[in-house]
Amino acid sequence: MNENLASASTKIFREIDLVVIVEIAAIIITAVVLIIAMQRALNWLGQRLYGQRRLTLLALVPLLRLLIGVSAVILIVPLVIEPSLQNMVAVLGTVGIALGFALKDYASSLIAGVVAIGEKPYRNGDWVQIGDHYGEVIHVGMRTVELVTADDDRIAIPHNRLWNDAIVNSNDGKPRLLCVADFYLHPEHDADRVRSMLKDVALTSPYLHLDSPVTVIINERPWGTHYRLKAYPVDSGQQFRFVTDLTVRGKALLTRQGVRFAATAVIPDAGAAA
Amino acid sequence: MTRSDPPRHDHPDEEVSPESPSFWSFVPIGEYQVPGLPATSAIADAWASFKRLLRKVDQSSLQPARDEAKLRALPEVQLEHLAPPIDPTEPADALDAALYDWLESDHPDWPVRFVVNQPHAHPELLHLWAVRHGAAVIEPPSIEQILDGDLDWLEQWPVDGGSHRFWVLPRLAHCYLRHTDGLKLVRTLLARAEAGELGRGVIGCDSWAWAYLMHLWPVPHPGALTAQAFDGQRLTRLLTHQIQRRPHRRVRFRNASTGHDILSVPSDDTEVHPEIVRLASHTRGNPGTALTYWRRSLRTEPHEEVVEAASEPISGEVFDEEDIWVSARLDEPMLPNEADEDVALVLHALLLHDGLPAALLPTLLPLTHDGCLAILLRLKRARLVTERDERWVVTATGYSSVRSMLAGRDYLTDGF
Repeated sequence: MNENLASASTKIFREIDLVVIVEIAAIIITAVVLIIAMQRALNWLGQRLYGQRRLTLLALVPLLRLLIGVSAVILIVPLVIEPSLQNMVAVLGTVGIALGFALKDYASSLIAGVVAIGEKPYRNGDWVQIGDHYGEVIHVGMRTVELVTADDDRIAIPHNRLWNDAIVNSNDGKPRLLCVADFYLHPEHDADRVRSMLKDVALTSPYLHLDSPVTVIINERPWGTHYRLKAYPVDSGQQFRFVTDLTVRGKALLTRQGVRFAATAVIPDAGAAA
Repeated sequence: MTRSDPPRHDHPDEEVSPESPSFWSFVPIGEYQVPGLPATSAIADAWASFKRLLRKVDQSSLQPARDEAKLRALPEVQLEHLAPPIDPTEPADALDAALYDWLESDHPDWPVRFVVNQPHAHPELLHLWAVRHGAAVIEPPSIEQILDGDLDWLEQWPVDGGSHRFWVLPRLAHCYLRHTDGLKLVRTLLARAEAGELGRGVIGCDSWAWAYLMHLWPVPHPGALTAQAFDGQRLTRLLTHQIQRRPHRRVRFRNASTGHDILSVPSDDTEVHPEIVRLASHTRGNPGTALTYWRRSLRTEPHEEVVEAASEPISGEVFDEEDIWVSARLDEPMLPNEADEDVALVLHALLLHDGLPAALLPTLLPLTHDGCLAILLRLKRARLVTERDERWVVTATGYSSVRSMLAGRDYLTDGF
């Protein structure tokens, strides 16, 4: 019985001697060095580019890493396993069961990481909201995606959030994203005039991307009028400065023109309906 | 006067040389054709840009080559003979030809015609054109008038009962500010001018301000004119025409590295040298910046007679030859790739307004006065900006670099 098992095992696995170990180590080291070098080079170059070129370049990082990783596995497997269909099915099935029980979440994140490269719910340089976290994607790793928030916090989120959570991507691989500046005004004013003034606030912001549309959305509320000034900055990284600039200059203009701001705290919609 | 025979009011008896002035022509702005490059030059330029990207600041490229180190820049007197600033008479002739129908018509389609010019292209053109036609020159409003939206400024227009006199507003870019209080006056001006309330006139506008104002006043302007781009051929003719010729003398412009002739005047050679094609492409057809580069690249031998008298006639009627060396390196100030966002904002504001006083920058940008001044001084040291008529402007030699940087970062650029 033991002899049969031993002979089956020798059929699946090749004899591993020192040469094979060295070869495997060399492949792994080469792959790791290549991945590190590629990531550093593309990130460094990405910092020197702007707009679409930067995002396209950064989006290549996880794809190239996956290719290097898969290539390494393809090179290593025949060194360890006798390459036949039965052997592959047997080994991969065993590994799959082991991972499924022991490292379920880890494997789930790894697989989700591969899916993320294909489906592109986020890429390097995108601004995304995952759960309560909003920030710029700076690294799409094997297991996690890393964000940097507006407060400069670095957050690592496992890819397996893909399966159940909504991923809100604000720019989806494009260099620009829509920004909104809110203004809450006393209800007694000329809305048409205020709308024109707010459009001018956007048109005169040095951050504005002038070829993108500028819109003003107005909602009448029980406490006053809610204006939403929507526009695109030149670069998505300017979004907070852009909104701040719109707010500062919008408030200054409205104050100069004698428009009063809403003095009542915002009443939630549900409360307003009641 | 016909369209093909434009007037030359200033020098009616002057003999027209074969090269002049047909290389100037004004076309609708949609017909402007940015000069291209041959494929090999384009690849070389792309490679140079890539190398710049990889370096922090390409200081080595700013150093003169060893063989050029012995040469010295041309004295101003000689420059005035070999490459003087553009005489606005010639573009004014071309503008006359382009506006001929409009000038002659009693009921033109448009009460106002726009002339859009790139920075440094032909700054004095409209002043001369106004004098030539006896038109009133409208000076731009003061900063205070712009910010107050003072419509009294519009009262100076020469609209006198039924008899309208021509007027010229040479600098529309100085009639607005990119500020919430700085748009009212220019909007009213454009509305009234295009409705014909101000009579007939010509409005000159910097190409960057034009690009911005078309977002404020999105009315199609098919009649807006601009000087057609100076491609290699036009530029060769312009450079040839600029030289003040002397009898029996040939001027040879030679590459300082290779010694090959780039331009020879007079010459029967009609071929355009690739270096001039490259210059035309680099400056995107802007004759003003091209001429500035050309002037800066001219060199001469030190401590030697510039004019070498030949012992016998060289060919035909030419007895003397003058060698002028053209530096192989473009003496161009470069912006480092690391130039931060504030620098981009300042440069963009300067271009959109055709220059701004330093004191106004903090009003238009979310930057402090000290911050703006520090940036301006840094840029001045790098020869990218300079002060002209109390306004800071982007220099002619820095313009290409600045435009390229702003375009690369997706800021609004002019249409040329």
